[in-house]
Amino acid sequence: MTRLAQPFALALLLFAAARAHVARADDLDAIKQKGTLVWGADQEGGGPYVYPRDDDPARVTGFEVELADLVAKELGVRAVFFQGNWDKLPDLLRARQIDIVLNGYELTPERVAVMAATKPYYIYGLSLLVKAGSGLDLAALAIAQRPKRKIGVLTGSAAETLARDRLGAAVEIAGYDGNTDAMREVETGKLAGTFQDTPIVAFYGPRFPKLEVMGEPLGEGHYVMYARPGEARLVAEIDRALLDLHQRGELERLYRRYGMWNAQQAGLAKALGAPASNAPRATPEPAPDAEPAAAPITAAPRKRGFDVVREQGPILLQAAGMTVLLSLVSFPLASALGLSLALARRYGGRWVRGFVTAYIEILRGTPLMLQLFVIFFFLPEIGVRFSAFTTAILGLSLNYSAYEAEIHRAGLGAVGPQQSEAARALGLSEAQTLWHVVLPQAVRVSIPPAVNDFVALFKDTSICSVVTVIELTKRYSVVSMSTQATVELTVMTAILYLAMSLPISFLARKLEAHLDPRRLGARPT
Amino acid sequence: MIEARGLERRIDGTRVLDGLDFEAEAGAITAIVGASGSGKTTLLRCLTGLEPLDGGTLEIAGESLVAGRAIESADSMRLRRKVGLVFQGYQLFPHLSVLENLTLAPRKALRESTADANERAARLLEHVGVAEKRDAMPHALSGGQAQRVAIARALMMKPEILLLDEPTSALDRRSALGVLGLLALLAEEGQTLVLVTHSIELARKARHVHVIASGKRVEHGEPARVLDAPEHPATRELLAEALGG
Repeated sequence: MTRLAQPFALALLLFAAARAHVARADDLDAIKQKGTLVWGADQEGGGPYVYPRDDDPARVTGFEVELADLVAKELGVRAVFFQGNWDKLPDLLRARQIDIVLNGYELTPERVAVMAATKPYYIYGLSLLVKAGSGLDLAALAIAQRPKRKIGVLTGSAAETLARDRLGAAVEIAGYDGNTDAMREVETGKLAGTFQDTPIVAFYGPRFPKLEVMGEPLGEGHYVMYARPGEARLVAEIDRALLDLHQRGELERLYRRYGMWNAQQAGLAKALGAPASNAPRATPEPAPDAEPAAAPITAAPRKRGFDVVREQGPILLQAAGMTVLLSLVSFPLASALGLSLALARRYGGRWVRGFVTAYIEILRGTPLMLQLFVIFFFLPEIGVRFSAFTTAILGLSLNYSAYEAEIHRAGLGAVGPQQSEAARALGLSEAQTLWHVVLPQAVRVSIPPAVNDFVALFKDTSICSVVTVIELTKRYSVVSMSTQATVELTVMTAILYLAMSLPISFLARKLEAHLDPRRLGARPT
Repeated sequence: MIEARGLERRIDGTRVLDGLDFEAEAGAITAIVGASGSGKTTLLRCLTGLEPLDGGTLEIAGESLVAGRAIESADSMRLRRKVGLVFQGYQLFPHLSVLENLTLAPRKALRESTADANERAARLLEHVGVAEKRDAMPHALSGGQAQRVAIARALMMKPEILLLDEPTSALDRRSALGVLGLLALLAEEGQTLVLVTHSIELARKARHVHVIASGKRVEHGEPARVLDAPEHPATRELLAEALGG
């Protein structure tokens, strides 16, 4: 570093430090100032946490939706739901897209190491569900059989750990990705039983009348909310709100409405730090001042056939609109950028060519998902923030520009150098030669493969759900989780995709025939 | 019209033109003959400024070109508008109709109006005998027709000199005779023509024949003298080959 640069760099560093200090202004102040508490959750996880409303699938409901409203009200602000993929919620938090994570996140040492946890808002256990009348309790399952009985769990969940600890040697453990998949398999007899979080059992139980809960819930885990690390004031404020809600009996009323209030909730008072004297009784019976008991909120009865089409059709169609929008905006951008890259690679100097080659190799050599991730979650760390939609457009355009560049390169390569010379010999300038002679021929060669790429991009829009854009595939996952009408929804979604991609493929074939190189081939010499 | 002295051109270390002298008169046909690889085509490319010179001096159509001048230079551009070149493989633009092939350069390089260019193109197509093909695409033309269109396209720029690279080598005898007749007609009208060929029959139509071997001119003169009483072994070899083939 030169002597002149040193003080300059120092000043820059100080300035950056000062800015960092300003940026570290407290989240609680920021929340109060903007008047909203933005909480992140994934509605694909389903009930009773957060799931699409039956009467209006574009909106969400669930006990966490109501809890968020209650807590926000305590803070004097409005709760705003932010959709994100469940496993990406901490990234959304870090990227400052949300203020808190509130979605059945357990208290674990790994998470506490990177985020600030509130006190628990619910104590859950794991219930063993078996086929009614089978009499298979934990003790019976622990007796090994040949062939081994199968127990279903949510992959990577606390249930999996519990099943391994208690029954590991005696049974075979099968991992599932959806909460209710294993419950259906117990019903059909493929599984001997399944361990499920107590709220899930309470919510989905009525949909599976052939299943029975064996014994008391096992284990004990705490659902907590997570804020950004160091946000002690926000956490303290939420803790205070939770304690107040608990002491006023509002938490109990909420959980009773979802059939989730049980003996385990006795621990809430202590966990929230309530004075022992005025803690409400934590028993399955209603508190004396509770509202008259109504039927708890559970999963709506499973619907079938055209009812599903009628109810979910509009929202799937709307999501298909997003898929079309993403494709139609990003493909022309990718194509134009790709053509510029191909031209830069062909006509540019050594450095330009090197840069373009590196760009193409990096973007083609890494997955689109990773690129979206970098734009959405890492760029904010250096102060560059894009909305989810802009991120999706940017990611798709940049990723596909690399492929389009190669296609256009092949197209340009297909136009022989003699064609340029013929144009130059006629007195056309280099630019005129490119524009009137080379490009029109090159584009004819690149159009058919480019249209194929368009179909590929169209399907790749589904990857954009990692940056919280809800397009057709994500919406399909959400509604099939909430309605369980998998067959109807799968057919509808497939039809929607085909209705969009078939016209493109048809157009591609027409173009291919129209631009047949044989019609354009130079005469033999 | 053309006066070249000591032209040199090296490609990948090989002396393709090695001190070549050459001249051509206005309003006449000048033929350059030589075996494959003798440097004929390179000479044509240097004459149109498509390839730079490494040495020598060149006066052509009132322009002087000196060694080391980049092919993108303004003089080279100006030169190309005065000197037309018809390529061996015609190099018609496959995405444009015959008419559009003719009018592209006048419209873009000379800023001629489309109406004027179309009118001139129609007349020229008539003149070269392919008027009925004005709306055809190049792939639908026969070899003879493509050659006539290529000549017409070059003439659209009103070149002072028209260079042709092997104008009949890819054509059957009938088409070749037709093109030969057209070239004779153009010469009668006063068009300066320089053609590169290994056809002795075509060379006989020229006022002057230059024989090139290994990047040098080895012999030149009127066709009757050069082709009937060759002095240089290279010329004799060429004639023997033409007779044998």
